[in-house]
Amino acid sequence: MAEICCQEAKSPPATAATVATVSASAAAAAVASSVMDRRRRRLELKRFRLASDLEQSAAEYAGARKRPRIPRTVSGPCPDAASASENAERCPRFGFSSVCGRRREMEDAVSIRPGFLPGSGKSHFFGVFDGHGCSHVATTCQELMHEVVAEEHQKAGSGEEPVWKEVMERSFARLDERAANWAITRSSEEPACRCEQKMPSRCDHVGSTAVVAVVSPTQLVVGNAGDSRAVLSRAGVPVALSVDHKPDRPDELERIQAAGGRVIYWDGARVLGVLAMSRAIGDGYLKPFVTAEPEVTVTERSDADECLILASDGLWDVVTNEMACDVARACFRSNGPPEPAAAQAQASGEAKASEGVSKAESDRACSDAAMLLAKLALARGSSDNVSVVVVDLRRGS
Amino acid sequence: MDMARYVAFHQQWIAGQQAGLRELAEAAANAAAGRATDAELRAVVERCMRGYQEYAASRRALARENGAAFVAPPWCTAFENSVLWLGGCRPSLAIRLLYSISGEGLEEDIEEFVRGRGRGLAEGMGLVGITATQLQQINDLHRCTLRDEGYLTERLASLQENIADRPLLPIVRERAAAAAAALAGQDRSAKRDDIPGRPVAAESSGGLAAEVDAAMESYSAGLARLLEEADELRMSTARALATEILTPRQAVEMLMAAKQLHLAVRDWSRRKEEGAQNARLPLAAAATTAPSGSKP
Repeated sequence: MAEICCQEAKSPPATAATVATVSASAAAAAVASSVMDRRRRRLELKRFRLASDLEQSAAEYAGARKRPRIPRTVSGPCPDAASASENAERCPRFGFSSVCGRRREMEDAVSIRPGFLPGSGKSHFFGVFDGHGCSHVATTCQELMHEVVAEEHQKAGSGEEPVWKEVMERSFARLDERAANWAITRSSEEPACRCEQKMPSRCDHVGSTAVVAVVSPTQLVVGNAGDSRAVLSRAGVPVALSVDHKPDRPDELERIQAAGGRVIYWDGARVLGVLAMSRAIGDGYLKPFVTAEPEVTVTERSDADECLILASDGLWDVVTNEMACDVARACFRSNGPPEPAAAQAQASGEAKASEGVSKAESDRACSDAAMLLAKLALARGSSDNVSVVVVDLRRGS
Repeated sequence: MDMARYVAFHQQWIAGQQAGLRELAEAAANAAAGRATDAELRAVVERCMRGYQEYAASRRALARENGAAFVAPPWCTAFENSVLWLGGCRPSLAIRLLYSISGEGLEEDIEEFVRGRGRGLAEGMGLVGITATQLQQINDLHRCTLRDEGYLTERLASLQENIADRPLLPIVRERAAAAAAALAGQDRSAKRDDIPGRPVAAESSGGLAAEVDAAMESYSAGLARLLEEADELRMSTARALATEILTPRQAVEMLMAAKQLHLAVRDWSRRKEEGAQNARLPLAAAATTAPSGSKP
């Protein structure tokens, strides 16, 4: 049964989530010749985005979600479990917001890939990558990380329970390798990026954080390297699923020093006085002090789980875990228009709230939460790019 | 003469800004009190945008006469000039401004919202109430604007670097050499009591002066072209924000904040500069401030 729905679910989600990638690279690739051209292009880009970005990804995604249902209700190999597992297996609702903010460069990247494991539509991939030096390592992670994780998951393949720690570690290592060879392997069609234009020999001075969550019906697997963060809201309480890799974290400091490196305080704690995080993908010049090895947590999902928030430090620098979870939950609560039906559904509990509210609106709650958090970060003076992903984990949602 | 015309043009523009600010402030107050329809607000926004458009059109014509004057206007204060980018604000400033004002009142609204009170999401949060879709659109516009700003910045850099190249540099060198030769000739002639080199040097420097004027004018024309494109980028960014992405009410808030910022920076820096001048030259102060200060 799982196979049936996965085959259906496999292809569409990729398109849904790549929308973010497409619009960003379209903007980057466009080269202006004359003013009129540029203006026209901007209008076109905008129109494209208006039509495409959030609405379309939500719409396509809603479509993608509907599809696996059809074979199941029609073929229904296990009728008893049908409705329960349907709820459990389809991708949870999500929303994201990723803005340049007060920086002049956009180096954050977000990747959302529902049903990313071939042969199983049950697991969904969410990632936030915060680049430094340039955006190309973050972009590479955005494009490839989910495929690499899927491959490693398949290789580990020992039945239902692969050792996620190893899957994540190998995936991060492969992306790290890819970043190291970026200058050699990249295709000539890719637009030359900032770092290359300014410092051809310094591609290894580029890196990215990576916080990756695999959401399955029963588990939350989080792999993290760097200072982006995953936070779970469970029964109204924020639970950090990753711990930031800062150079002054005692165990990290010890590790760096044991490897012969130093942490120097220069506008905060920095590895060799340069990088303000102790783990990252890329940054070949700071190896072995800066490592790409992720810390992995596996959390069993519970009925008390409300949402998962992944975000770059543009958010976490100015918003606490608690505040972020409060805002997301408030968005869930106030979801939908203030009509009696919706209000009733909300009042009578979360499980019902999702039945009473259409999917599009519920997705809107997640993206409203992500947007509100991004706005809050900007209002609190965050000077960095801000990327936020909110995943609705409520059972039956 | 020309300069007086430019100054008058600028003063007229400032007066227009002040009037525009009054109109926007009134519209914002009416909107806050629920007394203004969207159509009315849209008309105010449209008038404001037309004001910018007309200013850019007139300035384009003037800048073709003297590009340098409009890129580094002597009628602005040093402080104003320090924040200018190709004769005006950076196009991306509109977005930074919007981010700043959209933070106003947000903290309080979110606080209430989290407690389950206050405004719902439908009304938006904070003074400007940007929605998720708008935020995405603003971000996309931001990235396009930053990219185009980058292109123009690169071209300005090239133009500025050209100053150390043909045609200006060879003229500078030739002239310096000629001056040195003339000096040497003068020394010799002082000894020999005749001046054969002199008329030649004067004649060639007259020819050089024409070449220098031509080179400087061509540089200035290059600046005028960049200024024109910068104005178009400023306009298209502001227009996309004010008429395509934001609601009329949000647009009124943004445009009002933009005018407030512009006029306040102007007033403060002028007051400071005049204060400094008065301290230095108490007697001349009246004379220096009169031409620019006499008109409202």
